[in-house]
Amino acid sequence: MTEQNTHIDKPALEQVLANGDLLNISALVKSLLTHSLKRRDVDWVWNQLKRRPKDIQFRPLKMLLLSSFTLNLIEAPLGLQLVSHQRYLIPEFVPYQQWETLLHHPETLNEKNLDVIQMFLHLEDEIPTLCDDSILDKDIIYEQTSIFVERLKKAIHAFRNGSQTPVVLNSFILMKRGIERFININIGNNKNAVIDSLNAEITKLSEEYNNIYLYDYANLISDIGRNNWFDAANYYHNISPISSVGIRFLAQDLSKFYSALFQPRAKVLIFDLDNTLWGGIVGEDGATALKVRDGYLGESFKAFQSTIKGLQETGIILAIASKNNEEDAKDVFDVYPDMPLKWEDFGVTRINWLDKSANIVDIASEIGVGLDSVVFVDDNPLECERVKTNLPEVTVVRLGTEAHTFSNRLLEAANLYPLKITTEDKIRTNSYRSQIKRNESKRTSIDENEFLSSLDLVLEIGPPEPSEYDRIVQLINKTNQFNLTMIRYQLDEILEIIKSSDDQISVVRAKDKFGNYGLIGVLILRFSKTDCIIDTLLMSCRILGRNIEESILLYIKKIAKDRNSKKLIGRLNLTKKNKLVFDFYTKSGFLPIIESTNFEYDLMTNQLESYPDHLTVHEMEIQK
Amino acid sequence: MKPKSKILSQVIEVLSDVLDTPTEAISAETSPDTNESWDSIKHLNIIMAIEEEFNVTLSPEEQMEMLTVSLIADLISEKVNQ
Repeated sequence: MTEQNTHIDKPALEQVLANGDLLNISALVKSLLTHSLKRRDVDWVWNQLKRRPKDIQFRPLKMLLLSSFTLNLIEAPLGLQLVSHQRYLIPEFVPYQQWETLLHHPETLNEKNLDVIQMFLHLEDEIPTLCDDSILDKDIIYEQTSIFVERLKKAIHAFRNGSQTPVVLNSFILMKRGIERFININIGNNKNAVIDSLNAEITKLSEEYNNIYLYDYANLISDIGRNNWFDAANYYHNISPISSVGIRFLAQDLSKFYSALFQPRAKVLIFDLDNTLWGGIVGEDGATALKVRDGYLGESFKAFQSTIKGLQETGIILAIASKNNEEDAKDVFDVYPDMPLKWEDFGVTRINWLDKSANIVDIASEIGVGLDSVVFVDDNPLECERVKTNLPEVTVVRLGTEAHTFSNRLLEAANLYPLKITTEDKIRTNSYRSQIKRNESKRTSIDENEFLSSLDLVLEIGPPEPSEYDRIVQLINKTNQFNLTMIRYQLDEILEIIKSSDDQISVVRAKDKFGNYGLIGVLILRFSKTDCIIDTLLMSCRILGRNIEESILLYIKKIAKDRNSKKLIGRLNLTKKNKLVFDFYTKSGFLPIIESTNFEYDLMTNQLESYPDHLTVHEMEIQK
Repeated sequence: MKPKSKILSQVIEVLSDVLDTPTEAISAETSPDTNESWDSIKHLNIIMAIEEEFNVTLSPEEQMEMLTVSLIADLISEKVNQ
């Protein structure tokens, strides 16, 4: 037992928490969380943070927590975790099975302007007979379970019809096997088989609906262990069944989940090589002496490579920045053809003796992403520090020396977890890679037009499919470079636009001989009596440099003419990130409108040109 | 033996952190009736913080007895000095 009353230096912290700027506070809380704070200290820090005036607070994250039990104790630890991700938790707790009634009244929930509805249901509360020791007729178990599933489905369906707030469901943990412990295990219809099918049902639910997510609560409990998670005495006494250890881990894991849900995901991972992807130094030890196949170290590096490979498969682009001779590095991939990572997996490589920061900037610009979507991974503390200092926007992951911890370190330090994998994510890596191939041929190609024609580029422009709505929201919220107005929309707003007869949303899909890029552009037009206003016009950065813009603009002109608009009004909102488009309208024959940032194009006097020769455009039917 | 006075002041400090009330405003007589942030949810919070602070486990019966600061201190001193 410790005699020390408290570990933290309250007077010093109080100063920062009350008056410090937000970035300092976030960093401070992050470092506090790396020590295992006592519960009373967690409460104290959270109470200090809650005292800050609203106008100098982090961006709020309004959460409604619908649970079958009391979970208020998560507020302070989750609050701190989210502050370390620069969000301010505003929770509302609704325990004891009120979820069903509330979900059936989406209009009342809409008034709360929630960012997320988080559900935590325990089967002990929802289907008690399933979880006690009584051995029931299997028909009864199935019946009770299917009644619960139907209630849940109905509630979600009702809610979705009236609201677009994200809802996060929890998966269900298999029950503790009591007196049945040694029987029934081989029988397909034991109670746990029922829970498996229940989890499959709610997984389907999350796939069916936009903005319904499944948080794998059961997986977290198995990481920690059921006996450590639950507090049986408290369960019966005050319906607060999760132990203090459980609460702490839940807060940590849930905040990671919310980062994945609310923060833009990293796009590019840049790796060092020696003692990062394999054990040893190729330039000194030689390729054959490296640890990347067998033994404890070899297995550890191999496992790390598998994690990286997995990330690539979910749409993350891989790159190398290493101080080495390129031939040495390539040699390793030849000597170990069975390594999870292949030389071709890396979209861009900078293997030279230059400063890594310069190489990182170079890699980011070649791929066409901002430094804030780049993660740099190195075992060398000095290199890490340098990059941190030179390029503060880059997320730097310092791996340390224990290879078996690398995967965890990487996943904990950067925002890499995918939530739902869209088809675009799967093909993105390939398309980036083919873009790089293209850049190479572009360098040698003399005639730009000839080069573009050689791509066999095909565009499809038209109304979006319902399955593309998630991708539209994703693009609208993360596209910075080729984005004329930088207006961000959420799913509910997009659905409004789709419904409205005065507005029109179209999407652009693209493919060429190197690959299929999927949905790469979004445009939103708003029609007034005489004008067509270009509210949103954006294109994914991975498709830039192919003169697609003029074709999209021509498509807009055609649409506007069809709807008898007399003028096109182009809006332009220049920021630090979209400088690329500063002359887009003037270049395209638009005239600036005096005393505004808008441009206009007269559809009455100007003739429509035809699509350029270097690509093929398919215009899809519009139903409205 | 840990003196009871020391336990009392330590309990007051824990409650001060959890209830966001200055230590001077908490006495041996403070209870849910005299401190308005001490509601049933905060009571769970206090139990969790106290259990951790003194490395003890509190049974449901004991949790219900913790109705004033001095009762909490009595209970803890009994448990840690067994």
